[in-house]
Amino acid sequence: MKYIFTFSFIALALGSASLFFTLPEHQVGKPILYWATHGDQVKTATIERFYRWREEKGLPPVEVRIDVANADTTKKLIQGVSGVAADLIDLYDSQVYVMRSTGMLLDVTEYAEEYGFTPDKTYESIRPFFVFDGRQYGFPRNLGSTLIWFNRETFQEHGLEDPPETWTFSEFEAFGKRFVETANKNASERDRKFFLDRLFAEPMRRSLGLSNYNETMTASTLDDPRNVEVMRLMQRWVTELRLVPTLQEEAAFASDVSGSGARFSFFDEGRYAMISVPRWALIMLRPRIDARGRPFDLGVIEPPHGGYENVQVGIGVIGVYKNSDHVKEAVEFLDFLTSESFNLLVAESGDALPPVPEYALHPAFNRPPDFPEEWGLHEKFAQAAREIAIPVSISPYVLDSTIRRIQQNVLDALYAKQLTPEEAAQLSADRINSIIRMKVSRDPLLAKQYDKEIALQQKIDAYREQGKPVPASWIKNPFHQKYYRDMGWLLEDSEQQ
Amino acid sequence: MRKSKRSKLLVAIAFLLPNILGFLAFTCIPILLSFTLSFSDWNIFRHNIFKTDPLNFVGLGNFIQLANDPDFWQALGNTFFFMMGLPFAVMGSLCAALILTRATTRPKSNKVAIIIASSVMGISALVLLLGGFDFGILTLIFIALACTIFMGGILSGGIVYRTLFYLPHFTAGVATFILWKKLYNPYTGPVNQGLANLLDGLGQIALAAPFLFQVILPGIGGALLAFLIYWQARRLLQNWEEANSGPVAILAGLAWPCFALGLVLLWRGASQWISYGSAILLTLACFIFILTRPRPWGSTPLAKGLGTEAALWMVGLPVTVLAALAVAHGGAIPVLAEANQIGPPDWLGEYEWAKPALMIMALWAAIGSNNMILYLAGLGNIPPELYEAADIDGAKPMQRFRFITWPQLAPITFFIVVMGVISGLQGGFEMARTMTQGGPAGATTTLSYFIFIGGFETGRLGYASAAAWVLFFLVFFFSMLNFKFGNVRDTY
Repeated sequence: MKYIFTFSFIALALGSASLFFTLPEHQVGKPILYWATHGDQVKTATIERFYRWREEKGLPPVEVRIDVANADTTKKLIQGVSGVAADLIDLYDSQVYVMRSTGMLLDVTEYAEEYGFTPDKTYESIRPFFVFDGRQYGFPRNLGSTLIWFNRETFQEHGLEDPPETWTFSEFEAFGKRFVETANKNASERDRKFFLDRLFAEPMRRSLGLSNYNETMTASTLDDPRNVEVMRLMQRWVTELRLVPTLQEEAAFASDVSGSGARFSFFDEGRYAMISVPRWALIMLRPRIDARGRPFDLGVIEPPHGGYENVQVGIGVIGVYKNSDHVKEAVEFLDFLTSESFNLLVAESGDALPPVPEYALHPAFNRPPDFPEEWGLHEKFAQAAREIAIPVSISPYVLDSTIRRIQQNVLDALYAKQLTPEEAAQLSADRINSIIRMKVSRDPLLAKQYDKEIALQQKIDAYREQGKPVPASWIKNPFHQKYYRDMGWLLEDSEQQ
Repeated sequence: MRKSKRSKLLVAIAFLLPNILGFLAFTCIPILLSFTLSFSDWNIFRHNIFKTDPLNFVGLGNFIQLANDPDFWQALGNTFFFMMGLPFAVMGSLCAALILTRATTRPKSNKVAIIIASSVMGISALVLLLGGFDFGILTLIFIALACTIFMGGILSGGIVYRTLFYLPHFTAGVATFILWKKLYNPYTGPVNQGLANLLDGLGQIALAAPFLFQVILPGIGGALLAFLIYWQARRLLQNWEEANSGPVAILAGLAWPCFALGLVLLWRGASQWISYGSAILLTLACFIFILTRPRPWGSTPLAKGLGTEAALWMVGLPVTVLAALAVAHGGAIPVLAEANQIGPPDWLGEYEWAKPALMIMALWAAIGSNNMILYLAGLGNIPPELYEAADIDGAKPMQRFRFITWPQLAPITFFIVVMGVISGLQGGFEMARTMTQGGPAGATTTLSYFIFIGGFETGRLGYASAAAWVLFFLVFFFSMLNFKFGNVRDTY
C-alpha cells in the first residue's frame, strides 16, 4: 500500500510541477497583464493600439489578456481583497470609491505625475470619481454624459414635431401624453409604444436643487418635499400615463435579446420614441443602418428638468491592483489612455467621450467621415460633460450599491402603488440615515470624521439661513459644489484667502 | 506485527489526509470562523489583506440589528412564503410516482386511459377553440407534444413518462431559470401568449353574459365555501367523538375553510382587523363547539390526526382561495372586460405575482425531482399481498391508497418533508439572483440571497454570518419540530 501512496504522491507532485511550468507567464516570456473587463471589439482594438504605442515608444513588449470571467463587480471585490485580482481593473462610477475603500487599488498619484496622466488631463466634472482626498486611483477610459436620443422618423410617423432642445417637467409630460395617445391609438398593450425608455431620479431631483445627501453627505435629504414631487412625477409618468415602462417591463423586453439590445431594437422600431443613453449608443445604432437600408435621422436633447439643468455623467476608469506583479506595465497602460491613439479610437468607434477633452474637438470625433448624418450631435455630449454634467454623490458613510438597492426597492413599491410618494420619500431617507448611523457607530475613525462634518453642516446651515456664501472647502457633495457655485452661494477658496 | 499495523495506519492516514485537510479547510474551519465572526463587526472594507483595522467584538449586536432590520424580516417572510409550496411539491411528487407506477389502477385500464386521454385532448382543443385560441404553430406544437407524451406513455408502459418527469432534475439550475424567465416574459413568453387568448375569450363571454360572473359565479363560490366549512366542521366533530383527532388537529383543520371567509371580507374591502378577526372568531367558535361535545371514546393525544389535516390543507386551501376569489371578485370581471383590462400578469415584474411565479416554477422542478424517485422506490417496496388482501376485502382505490399506500410511504414522506424544509429554508438564491435580483421591491429576496447581499455587496461579513447562523437555528428548529410532530413513529 505504501508503494501505491508513494507512487501517487510522486505522480501528483510531478503533475503540479509541470502545471506550474506551463503557466502562461512561463510560456510567453513577457509580462502578462490581466484586464478584468467586459470583452468587445473596442477593447480588442485598445489592446492592439497599446502594443503599437509601446513599440513606438520603444518599450519592451507585454501581453494584455482580457479577463471576462471576472468582470463582475462582486468577483472583482472578493478577489481583490483576497489578493488575486487582475492587474488592470475596469471600474464604473462609484465602484472606484468602493474598491479604493478596501485598499486594493494602487494610489497612482506619483506615477501620474511622473508619466503625465494627472487628473487635470481630463474633464473637471469627473475628477471626484477617481480622486479622493487629493490622491489619484486610476484614469478614465471614457466618460458618458447621458442625453436623450430621438428618432425624427418616429415623431413624423405620428404627425408630431421634434421635441424641444430643453424642456421642463410639465412640457415633457404634455408632449409625452400627446405622443402615447397618438402612437397607441389602436395598439394593444403588448405592442405599446413608449415615449422614453427610462427615467433617472437623481438628475430630476437635482434639477429641483436637491441631492441624495446634504452638503457634507452626513445625512440623506430624500425626505425633502422636492423628492416627494419627483416620486409623484415618476409614479404618474410610469404607472398612470405610461410614458415610460417600469423597470421590470424594461428588463422583460431585454430578456429576449442579448445585453442592452432591446432598447436599441425598440428605438429602431419606434416602440421607444426616445432613449436616455450617452454617446456610446452609436456603437449599437450604427450597425443597424445596413439592415434598415437608410441612416437614422437622429436628434439629441437634454432630459426634462425642474429649473436647474443638469445631466448624469458616468465614467469608466481603469485602476491598478495593488498586488499586481507588473505595476510598471500597468501604469504605462494608464499613460496610454491619454495618448492620441487611444482617444481617437474612442472618438471613431462611437463610444462615449474620449477621456482627454481636446480630442472632443478633433474632426474624428465631431465629423466622422462615414456618418455625416451624425454631424452636430457629438458636440452636444462634450458640451454637456463640460457645462452641466455632475457626478454621482458618494457618501463615505453608506455604500452606493446599498443606496441603489434601497432606491430600486422603493421605486418598485411606488410603481406597485404599495407606497405613496410621501411614504417612498420618507422611507428612502429613513433607511439611508439608519445605515449611516449604524456604520458610524461601528467605525471609530469614521465617527471622528462624521462628527467633524456634522459640525461643519451646522455651520453651512447657519450661513445659508443668514444668506451668507459658504466656503467651497466645506462642501463635500459634488452636486452642491456646482449648484452653490451656479447660484452664487459659494465662496471660492481663492476668495477666502 | 505492531510495526506493520502502525505503518498501515500511517498509509491510511496519508491517503485520507487530502480529504481531511479539505474538510478542515473548506468546511470545519469556515463554520467555526463564521460562528466567531457573527459576534464581530468584520467588514470587508476594513478587514482584509490591505486593511487591518482592529476587529471588534460586538456581542449580540449583529443579532439585535437583524431583529430590527426590515429587510431581514421581509427575506424571512419570503422564505416562509416559498416554503408554503412544499406540501404541493410533496403531493405533486407522490402523484407523479403514483401515475408512473399505476399503483392504484387496475389491469385492463389501458383502453380506458386511451379513451380518457383522447377525450381530454378533444375537449381541451374545443375549449381552446371556443376561447378564441388561434391554432398557431406554437399551439399545434404543444398539442402534438401533449399527445405524444400521453400516447407514448400509455403504449410504452410508463418508461417515457418516467424519463420525461425526471427531466427537470437533469437540467442545470441556471439554465432552467433562464428558460422560465423567457416563458414568463409578459410580452413574448408562451405563458402569457396562451393566457392572453384565453383571457380575451373570457372577456368576450363576460361582456356577452355578465350575469354569469355577477350572480352565478359568486353564488357557486359562496355555496362551495359554505359547504366546505360545514363539511369540515362535521368531519372534525365526528373525528373528535371517535377520538381520531386531537385539539391541535381540529384547530388546524378548521383554520383553512374559515380563512377563506377572511379572504372574502378582505378582498371586498374590509379592514385586515375585521377580515382576519372574523375568520379567527369563526374558527374559535367551531373549535369550542366541537371541544365541548362529549367524547365517548376517551381522550386523544394533542396532535393526533395532524398529518391528515396537513394533507387536507394542501388540497383544500387552493380550492377555498379560488372560491373566495369567485365570491369577492367574480362580479368585477365584466367591468374589467368592459374597460379592456383583463390581461395576463407581468409574472416577474409585479409585486403580487413574482412570488407565486417562482413557486410555480419550483413546483414544476420539485415534482420531477429525487422526491419522485424516492416515492417510486417506496411504492415498489410495498408488499403486493397488502393490496391483494385489500382487493379481497373489496377496497376501493381511494381506500387502498388511504389505508395501505399512504401509511406505507410515511417514512419516505417524513424524509422528503425534512429535506424539503431544510432545502426550502436554505434555497432561493440562484432563483433570485438569476431571475429577479430579489425584486420587485424585495418580493423574492430569500434569506440565502439576503446573506449574499449582506456579505458580498455591502461587505458586512459579521452581519451576514449572524444571518447565516439564524438560518441554521431555523433549520435546526424546524427539523426538530418535524421529528417531534411528524407521523413517522406512528407508522413504524
